Amino acid sequence: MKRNSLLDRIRKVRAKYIDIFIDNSYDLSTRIQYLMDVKGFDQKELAKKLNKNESEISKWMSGSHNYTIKTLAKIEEVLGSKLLSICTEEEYKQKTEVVIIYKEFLYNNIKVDKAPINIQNQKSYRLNAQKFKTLHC
Amino acid sequence: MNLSNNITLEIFEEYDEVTYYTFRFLGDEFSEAEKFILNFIDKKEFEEDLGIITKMIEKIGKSGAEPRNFRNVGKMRDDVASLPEYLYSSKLRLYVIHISKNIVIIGNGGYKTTKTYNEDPFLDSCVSLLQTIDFKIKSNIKYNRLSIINRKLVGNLSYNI
Repeated sequence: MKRNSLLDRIRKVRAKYIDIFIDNSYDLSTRIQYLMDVKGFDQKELAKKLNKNESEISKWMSGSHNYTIKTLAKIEEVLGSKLLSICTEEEYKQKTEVVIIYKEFLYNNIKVDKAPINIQNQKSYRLNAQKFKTLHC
Repeated sequence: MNLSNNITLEIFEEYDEVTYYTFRFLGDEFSEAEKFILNFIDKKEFEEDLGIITKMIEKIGKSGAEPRNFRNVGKMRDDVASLPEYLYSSKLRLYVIHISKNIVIIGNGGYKTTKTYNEDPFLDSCVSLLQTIDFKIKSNIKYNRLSIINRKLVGNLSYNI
């Protein structure tokens, strides 16, 4: 797959937090879009329920928005489903074994990915996954 | 300033779900997307924004180019937009044509200091140019001189602007 050399220069020095930020923001917007589709909401409807302008919802859904925790809480309340989970200290300590997680992306025509991912000492949440299986070994 | 008014579309980057094109004026060393990057790549204050733009290109490339990832900036009848839709920390604008879920054409852009892009002559020219190219592409598709096959543009890729 072709890559541009100038963009590769930027990628080499790109800070890790940018990857984490965009991954989280993008996955959150995909999750919100999925829940909106399930509820039958469009952006206008969601805006009305949250007492916001439609343009603000549009910004949230872009994939690069810096959500506040309060905003996410309000969206969760309206859509009636979890958007985020946070690892607690107890959960972190308990996971001393290798965890193999299967993720299947079935939403929005994202390719099915059945490759196992090895993750040690933490749970991983893929916000845009419809199916989520965890096998502890 | 471009003396030539002939442009050719070329592949910029390829991903599983999206092929990104850009375009080059006849005789130019760099494509329009490369000119945008070269304008900001050595400026520390834009390091984060360029990082976000490159990451978004990858993320959209893997998932597909959804309308919500872009902010329409042109008129109702064209598909000219800015990418990403919202950069919270900056007024950096990179303009594109969102052809389909699988094809995006990246143009040029810059730092927006005015309220609207129309008030900035350079940004206005970037958007106008993309609107012209968008029209040319749609016209060529309509008259079967250009097709979209397997996430690629196949056919006439050169236009007089």
